[in-house]
Amino acid sequence: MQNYLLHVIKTKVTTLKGFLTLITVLIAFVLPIFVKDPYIIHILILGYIFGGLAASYDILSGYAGVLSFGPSAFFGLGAYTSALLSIYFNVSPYVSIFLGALLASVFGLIAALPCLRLKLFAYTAIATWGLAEILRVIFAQWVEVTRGYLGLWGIPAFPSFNFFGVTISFEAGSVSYYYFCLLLLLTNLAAMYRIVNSTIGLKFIAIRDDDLAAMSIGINVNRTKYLAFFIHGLTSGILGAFFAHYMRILTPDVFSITVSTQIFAYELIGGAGTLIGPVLAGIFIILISEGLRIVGIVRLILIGFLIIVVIMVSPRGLVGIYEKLKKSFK
Amino acid sequence: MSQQLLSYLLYGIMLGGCFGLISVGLSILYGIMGVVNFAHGEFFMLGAYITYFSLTLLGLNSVFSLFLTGCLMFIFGIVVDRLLFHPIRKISFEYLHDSSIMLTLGLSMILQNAALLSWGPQYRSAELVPGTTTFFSVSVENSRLFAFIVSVALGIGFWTFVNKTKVGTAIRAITQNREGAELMGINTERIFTLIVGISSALTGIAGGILLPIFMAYPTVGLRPIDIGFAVVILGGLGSIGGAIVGGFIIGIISAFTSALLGPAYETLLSFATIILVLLVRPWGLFGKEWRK
Repeated sequence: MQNYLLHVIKTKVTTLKGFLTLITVLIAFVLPIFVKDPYIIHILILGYIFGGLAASYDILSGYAGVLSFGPSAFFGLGAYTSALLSIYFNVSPYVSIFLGALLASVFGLIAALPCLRLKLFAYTAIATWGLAEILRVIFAQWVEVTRGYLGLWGIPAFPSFNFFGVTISFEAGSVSYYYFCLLLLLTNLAAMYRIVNSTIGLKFIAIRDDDLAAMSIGINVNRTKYLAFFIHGLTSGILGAFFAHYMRILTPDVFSITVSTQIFAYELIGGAGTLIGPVLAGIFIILISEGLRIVGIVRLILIGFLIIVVIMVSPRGLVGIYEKLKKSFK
Repeated sequence: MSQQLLSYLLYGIMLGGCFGLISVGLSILYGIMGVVNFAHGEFFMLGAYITYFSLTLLGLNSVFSLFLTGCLMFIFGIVVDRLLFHPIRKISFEYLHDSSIMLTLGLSMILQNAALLSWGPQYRSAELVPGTTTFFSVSVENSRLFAFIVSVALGIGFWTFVNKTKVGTAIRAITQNREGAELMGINTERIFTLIVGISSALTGIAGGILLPIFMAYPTVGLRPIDIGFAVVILGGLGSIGGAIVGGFIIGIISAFTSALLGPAYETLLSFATIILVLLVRPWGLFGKEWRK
């Protein structure tokens, strides 16, 4: 064990990438000690959720090359499933978030079905967007259960528990939500990082770059696409479920195209197919846009300009800019 | 009962004509440049606002205000192309194809919020042609009839332009093979700019004629873009005929669902139709079939 740790420190932490990652994670962990304002903590939690969603979306579109326009479908489905289970069947939120994620990933397999034969990105975009839109209408019209646009409220919060004698409670505005969210995000990211750096990740990249060539070397393209949708559904669904128990109120707007375009924008601004770029872009853009809240609507115009400028300057998003900078310093 | 069905059908056909007009601009932009325009709804919104203001502030009659809308939106399209698409085309044509969604999404954010900032969130509506007409004992609002007639006229006009004129031949040539067209001495840059202008003008006019039904407010574009993409994918991207036929199909479906099930199910049914069609024909009804 000790040898293994030493080995990890020697090989991973000493590289620039590993060092930066470690520093960032450490900063994220100690941040609540210095920042006491619950509002900023709230914004950070939202940033983590959407950053995680953007990374999860990156698996599907950046790595597997299936341009989906319905990441909100998985997010919303996870949220609603977990919320409804815990309201109507008294399932503990700790269990129901996993059930929500599971249902979202199963829905991912269904969503993959029309996308298998579609080659042009615009078509997969519409098919997945359509699925998200269908879910939105269903959850909006299923008024007896979901209360439609009035909003599903009274979603139970996570129950408090004892952790080695320390009671961890999840009251509104408590810092335990922050750590829960951070742990969820980090686990998600670690899992996704392992996946994209394994043979599965190589398969994703292969079918993205040339599916015919991938097929010819024996990669089952359909099964790989199913897998990408499954992973995307699982990781987005669990973040959605956490979102439901955190906000404790849901409206069918979680399925709306604006949520999808947000996730999509973070992914592309951060740099598609880099995993870390989308997370950072999500967190920073949410922070910046909250910071600019004083200027009102103008902030959205500024973000629009930011998107266009990033596209024009660097095709690979913020990660592309980082790579350029690194090259120029060498 | 049959009378009611007839009225739904009539409404569907008239709505379908307008949907076709909304979609033609989207389809041609994809067919020529490979740009998937997510700011399409905002073109529609701008058109609706321009028509509204020229009807109320300038006091023009409906035909003239639509004409003005068309002209201004044409200029707007040219500006968008010069400022946005042209620099990206200079980097690389393939890159335009890949980044178009993001680029137009940014544009759509800017336009939507600029409209909110300058005109506020109110819903604005104006009558283009008041009154109703009766067909086969089914009464139809004149504004819908007018919208349908304008759409059909513009559709026929655009079809003639593409198929019968020299510039239209150039457009078709570029759709088939851009590099080949360039080698034949076609100034592709000029055609691209022209097409963005035409697309913007057609969409703007669509916004104008649908002003009594859709009204004008900053986020009005969300619905036509829904419809536009549904129609275009159903008909096949890049196919003008497909966009028009798809428009009628989606129009009739939404008229019937909103009458029989309620307007909330309109999008559900149209999207379900598209997904079913894509399962059977992944290239849409009239799109170019691909076999790798």
